[in-house]
Amino acid sequence: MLKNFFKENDFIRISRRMEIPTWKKWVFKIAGVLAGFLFAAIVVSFISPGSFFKFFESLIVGNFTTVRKLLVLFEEVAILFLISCALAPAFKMKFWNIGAEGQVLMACLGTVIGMFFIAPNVPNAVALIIELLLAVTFGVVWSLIPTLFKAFFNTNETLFTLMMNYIAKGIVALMITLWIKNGSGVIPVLEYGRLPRIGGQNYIINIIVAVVIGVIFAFYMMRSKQGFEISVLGGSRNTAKYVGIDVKKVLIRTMIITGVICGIVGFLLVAGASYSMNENTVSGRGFTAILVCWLAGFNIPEMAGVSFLVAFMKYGAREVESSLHVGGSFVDIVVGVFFFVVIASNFFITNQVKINFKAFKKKKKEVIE
Amino acid sequence: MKSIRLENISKAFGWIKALDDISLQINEGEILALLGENGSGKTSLMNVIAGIYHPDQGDVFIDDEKVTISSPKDAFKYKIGMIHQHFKLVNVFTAVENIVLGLEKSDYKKFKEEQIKTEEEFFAKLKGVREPSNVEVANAKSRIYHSGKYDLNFARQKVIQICNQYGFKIDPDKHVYDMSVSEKQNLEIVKALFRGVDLLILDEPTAVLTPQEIKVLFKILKNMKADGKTVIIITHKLNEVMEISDRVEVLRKGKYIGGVKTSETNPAQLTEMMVGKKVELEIRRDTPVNPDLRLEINNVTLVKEGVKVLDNVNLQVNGGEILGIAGISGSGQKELLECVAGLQKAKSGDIIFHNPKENKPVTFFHKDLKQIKELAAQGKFHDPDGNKIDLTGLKDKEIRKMVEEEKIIFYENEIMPLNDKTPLEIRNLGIKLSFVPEDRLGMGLVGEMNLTQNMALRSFRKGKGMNVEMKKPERLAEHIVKEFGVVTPNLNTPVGRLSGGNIQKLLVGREISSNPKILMTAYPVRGLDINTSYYIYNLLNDQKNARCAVIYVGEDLDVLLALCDRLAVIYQGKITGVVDPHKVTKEQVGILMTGGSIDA
Repeated sequence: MLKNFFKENDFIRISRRMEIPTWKKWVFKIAGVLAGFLFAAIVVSFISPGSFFKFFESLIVGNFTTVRKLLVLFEEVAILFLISCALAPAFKMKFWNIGAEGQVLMACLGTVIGMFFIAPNVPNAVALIIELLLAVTFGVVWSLIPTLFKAFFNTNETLFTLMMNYIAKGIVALMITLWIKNGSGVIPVLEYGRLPRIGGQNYIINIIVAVVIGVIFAFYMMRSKQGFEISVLGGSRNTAKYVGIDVKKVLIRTMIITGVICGIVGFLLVAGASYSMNENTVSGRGFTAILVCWLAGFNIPEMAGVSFLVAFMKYGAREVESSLHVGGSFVDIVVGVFFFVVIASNFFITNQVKINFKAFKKKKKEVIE
Repeated sequence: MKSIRLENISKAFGWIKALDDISLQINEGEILALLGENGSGKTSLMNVIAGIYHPDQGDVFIDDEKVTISSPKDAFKYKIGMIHQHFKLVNVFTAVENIVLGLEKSDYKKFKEEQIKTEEEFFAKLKGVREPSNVEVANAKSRIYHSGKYDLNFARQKVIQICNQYGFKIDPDKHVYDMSVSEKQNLEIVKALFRGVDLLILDEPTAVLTPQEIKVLFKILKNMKADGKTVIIITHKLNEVMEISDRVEVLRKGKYIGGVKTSETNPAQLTEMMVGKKVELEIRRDTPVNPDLRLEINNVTLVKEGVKVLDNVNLQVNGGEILGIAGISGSGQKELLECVAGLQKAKSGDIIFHNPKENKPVTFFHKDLKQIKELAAQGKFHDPDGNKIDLTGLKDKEIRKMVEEEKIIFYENEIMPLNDKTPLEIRNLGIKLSFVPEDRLGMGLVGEMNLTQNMALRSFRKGKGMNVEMKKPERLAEHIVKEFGVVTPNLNTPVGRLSGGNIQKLLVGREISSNPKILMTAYPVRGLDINTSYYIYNLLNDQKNARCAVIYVGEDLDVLLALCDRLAVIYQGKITGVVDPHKVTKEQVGILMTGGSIDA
């Protein structure tokens, strides 16, 4: 029905765009985000009438009013952005690694091993290095297992990496019960092997690391030879073979990079923020990062922007929840509406929609006659 | 149906106007040739009639009555059928199963009525002779009412009847996967006729056929015309237009140029209408000068999924010569080129490259210091005065200096087997493959990347440092865009957005611009306009004159015979003959293409 409607009527004509100027693309993107806020606010005012402006106020209050809130916001941005960086190269070469959650979690486990068993007995600097090495090793091992199977036995990486997430969770839960003999099942906040605080705040170093890695990574993806190889592989495997790119080699190399970054993230999460862990330490950010990657089209600077939006909505929504006294699930709906509109706005970037008013008038006339 | 009239048809795709205000008349019972270059809008225009495209503007009239054809099913309603370039058949079904596939309830009703009529006729005939037995009546009833949706037996009879009427050769129970290309094409036509089509549109029907098969097809088309059917054939081949059509309509760049009666025109005039200016339709072929052996393919056999794709292939390719490879598409041409390029590993046999190094200095580009020392120990080098070089006792630094001053020179061509080399190593030796597959992008280009990046594919490893050097590729892209007339908004457009012909110009241009020692091209002019095609033929000829060994896999036999110095014919992975294009006829090549043999 719908297909025929578009085919046969002359009012709306949808065609694929050949070219879109960069400024126009950004106009659409920004308009999409604004429309997202607008729709979310409208949905909120349906539930609690008169709260249209209160919604925007809460978003600001939830994120910006104190230094601590700002730090929390940007730490969340940093972690999301780093995980997205870890995923982007693999995604770009069409290797669907949806196992960042598990890869980061294993890195957390590595860090905790360092903090728990080694840090009390050695100087802090040494402890930190050992923790970082452990975290990176764990992350790389967890990303390499599915990769090697893909490279040599052509297994399906999506299923494999997904399953590895649950295995990681299981291992973490098991380890905690083995180590914590008192039966509480909770690792106490660990005293030794912490990253130093800057200005008395513990999140700043995480943010700095994210900025540094982000800049390096943007250059790696956009300018370097290895980044170029990744793009070629993602574009056409046959062409890649033809120009002499070793597919397996690039695959394994890229997934090692993924593992290293996941390792760093796990290290930052434990040694730089929570000083402890449980099986929910990553709290779904490994999956949220997939959304970030796609929404930004694997473009590193845009990924930073999208990470900010996601984190901003998360903490803003929490404030909305408490200030408007609506349930947590309702806030999830609002966040969902927001991202739905933002994603939908992409349609206008890839497609041109023309409304033919002339045809409309003509049809009207015919009807009248 | 009597006639179709198109009035002011326009259709745009993005910024490209595929059809621009076209008005056209199609008369009953004629064979109309729709002539135009690739991208001139022939297929788009016919897709409008066949219900695949809906025009932005303009109307279609059938017998002076305005109609809307919004789907291929609609088209069948108006008795219009179109045979596309890519056949739409189910491989695991038999011919007759493919034919009844997709018939609707209304078709089915008609079909049943016809069947009842035949049964009645049978009984009527019988009446004069004897009473029909109860069994016969019951059988007839069950055939009509209880035999599932379609009575394949009846369909089979109708298919056979159509085949006999027009001269098709189809076994109704043969599976499609067992059929040759021409059989599949016949089946598509029968399928359309089965549905009672009065106007048949054929999109480039001869592109995939051998000369013999083309003759058979044309005979069938003439039979159809004699039966009062209308045929439109979309083509860009002039000799076919002259042979088969009654009338020619010409399109150029989406615009209607004009129509002429075939009997009142000639190829030169048609070309001028098609291209818009006079064209020199002559392919340059210079006599090869001292061709020397460049590539040996010895007993190469390639097995893919248990099937011998290449069967004991032997070929010699010479520098300064164009070797043509003719064959029905899918006979192993692609695999042969891929074997040479290192993309496929042959099961057995050798591929040996004769690197033309005689009296040329050794460089560090292909050889490292250790290899040079080894070769020198074997006495492979001489100095500029012609004396043998002995490197023993010299320091590495001194040797490096000698190499850089080009003082170490090869005695003779270097002979190297390619079997154990990687595609990259083979490319670096100067063996270039420019293969234009059906989807055009599958090999050699990346659709999502822009023009400059695609040029960089060849050279991105060069240059120091981590980063990809983009200046030179940019200049190369600019050069190719200018030289080949590539139509693109700018150099930052992803090549996947360009039209097929333009993509191809980029690919061929990039490979030729690297001064290869062996240039393998497959279908380099597929989808290109006449001017660019001839431009590419001449470029290949220039490559040959520059001592390059050119392998040209082509479809158009006229071109193969006019361009190549030697012509190899491949059939089901076997070389059925290497012939002299100056001496053989198209028909003889056609025999070789279908596995026969000739005395030549």
